[in-house]
Amino acid sequence: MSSQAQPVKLISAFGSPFAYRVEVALALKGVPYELVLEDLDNKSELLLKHNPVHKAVPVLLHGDDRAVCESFVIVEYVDEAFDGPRILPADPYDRAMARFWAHFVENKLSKPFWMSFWTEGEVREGFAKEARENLAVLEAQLDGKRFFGGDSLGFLDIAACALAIWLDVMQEAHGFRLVGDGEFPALRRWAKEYTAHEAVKKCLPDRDRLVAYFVTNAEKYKGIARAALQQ
Amino acid sequence: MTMTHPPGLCPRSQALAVPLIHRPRIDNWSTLRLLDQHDILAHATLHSSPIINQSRAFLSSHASIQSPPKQSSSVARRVSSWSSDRDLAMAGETKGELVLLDFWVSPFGQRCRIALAEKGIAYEYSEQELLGKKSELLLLSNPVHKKIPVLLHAGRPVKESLVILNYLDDAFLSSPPLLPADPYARAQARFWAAYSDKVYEIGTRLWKLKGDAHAQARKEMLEVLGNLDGELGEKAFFAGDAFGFVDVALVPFMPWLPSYERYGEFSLAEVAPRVAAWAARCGERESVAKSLYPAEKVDEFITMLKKVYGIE
Repeated sequence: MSSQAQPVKLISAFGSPFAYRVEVALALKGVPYELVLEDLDNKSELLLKHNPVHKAVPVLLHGDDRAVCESFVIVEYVDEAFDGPRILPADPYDRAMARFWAHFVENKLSKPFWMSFWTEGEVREGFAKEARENLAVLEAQLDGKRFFGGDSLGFLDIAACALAIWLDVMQEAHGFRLVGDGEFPALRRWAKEYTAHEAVKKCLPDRDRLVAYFVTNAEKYKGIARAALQQ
Repeated sequence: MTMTHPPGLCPRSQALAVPLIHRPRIDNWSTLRLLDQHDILAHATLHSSPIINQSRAFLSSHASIQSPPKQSSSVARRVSSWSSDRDLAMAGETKGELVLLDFWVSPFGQRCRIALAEKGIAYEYSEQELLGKKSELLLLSNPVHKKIPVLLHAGRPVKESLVILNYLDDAFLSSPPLLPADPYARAQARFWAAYSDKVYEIGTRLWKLKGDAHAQARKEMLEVLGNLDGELGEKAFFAGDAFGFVDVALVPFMPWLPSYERYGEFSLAEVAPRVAAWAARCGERESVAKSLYPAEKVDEFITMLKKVYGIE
């Protein structure tokens, strides 16, 4: 059996935008997979065995002996191991740019984005300001294109998926508007195109369930934010 | 102009102080990179044929280089391949100038220097002023992060050390690859290279912080080093027999380890003995020996940073 035909399992957790990145990649390549949902408060043997270093989702299991961890690493693996439309572009410089901006989303945008919802007062304002500044930088990268990847969905679109879906969800769940109605028009347009895309629609989490999830777990995430601030 | 040679630098090579192509401000040893004769040839622009001919003449008069030992250094490997047409093809592949904006002690910059040396790619090294005013070129090339390393290829900036490493593999196809060929092996390499960043991040907390935060950093450092030790196992290098991506990513942090050991009160040899042996093994490679500074210099740098940040 060629390695491409070997069964694929994705260990995920409901609500995780990181795992969602992998689902979109798999859907883009047309790779069937079994979704295994974790309860992160009660991690399974399967997860701990295959991601002993981070004990986090997502983890891709491919066949019997391949476990890949960390969402960006998994997306690149899916791109290289399976046939189908390219996720990373062909040109070396464009690839470097896609990777650079994906890391920007992860390292510069992610933290203030989430923290702006889970903190309060001045601290919240600080994170919100940083998130908005970085959203502006990201918006500039769209530069009139349909997707970050051009005419088709690419690596950076996958990396930024949280913005297309989780932003509205979080705003509703926490009653805090990070982004005003008229703001970041290019990103809003992109989010619409993104969520209308076939591959993305296939694995789109149920919006109401997502909102309910974040409402229910609000205190838990606020606690995580407080602990992170103390470090 | 003669330049002094800091003790302990490049102990293995007969260092010859040579002016850099792009001369940085000479105030003290910290802004110099000393190159020996191999480097003049290796780093000079390959696409000018007088230099290639000169280098061939030099090499043919040094028999010991032409028959490199079994564990050949990257320089010897480069040298033995220069007689083929491959290098001329590669010279053509250096589509335009390569400039590395860097800072002498930066381990992230060193990743790039080691990678470029391993791959036998010529480039211009450009030392950047980071503690004072940043240069126009740096600010233009990396407006988002204002950080080095930045690799300028025909004027286009590539940023983030691991992105640069991936780029070098993608753009210089006839040079020895850093990453393995198999997608799963590549995924493992990318995972562990990214993980190696933690050594620096946690190490910085070790020398900056006190009390509970320091204790937490120490605990994490031991865990990270333990994980790296486990992953390396009994292999010579992280991917097996060949020096590659993860080794390049991790080795620049090794001269920082003695400082981290002192601040964290632990011993690398006890916590991660295989990593300790691996570090020594890597240090024997030309590319690594020429790119890294001795631990004492790194420690002096940390002490200086502490003063700058006002830390006791």
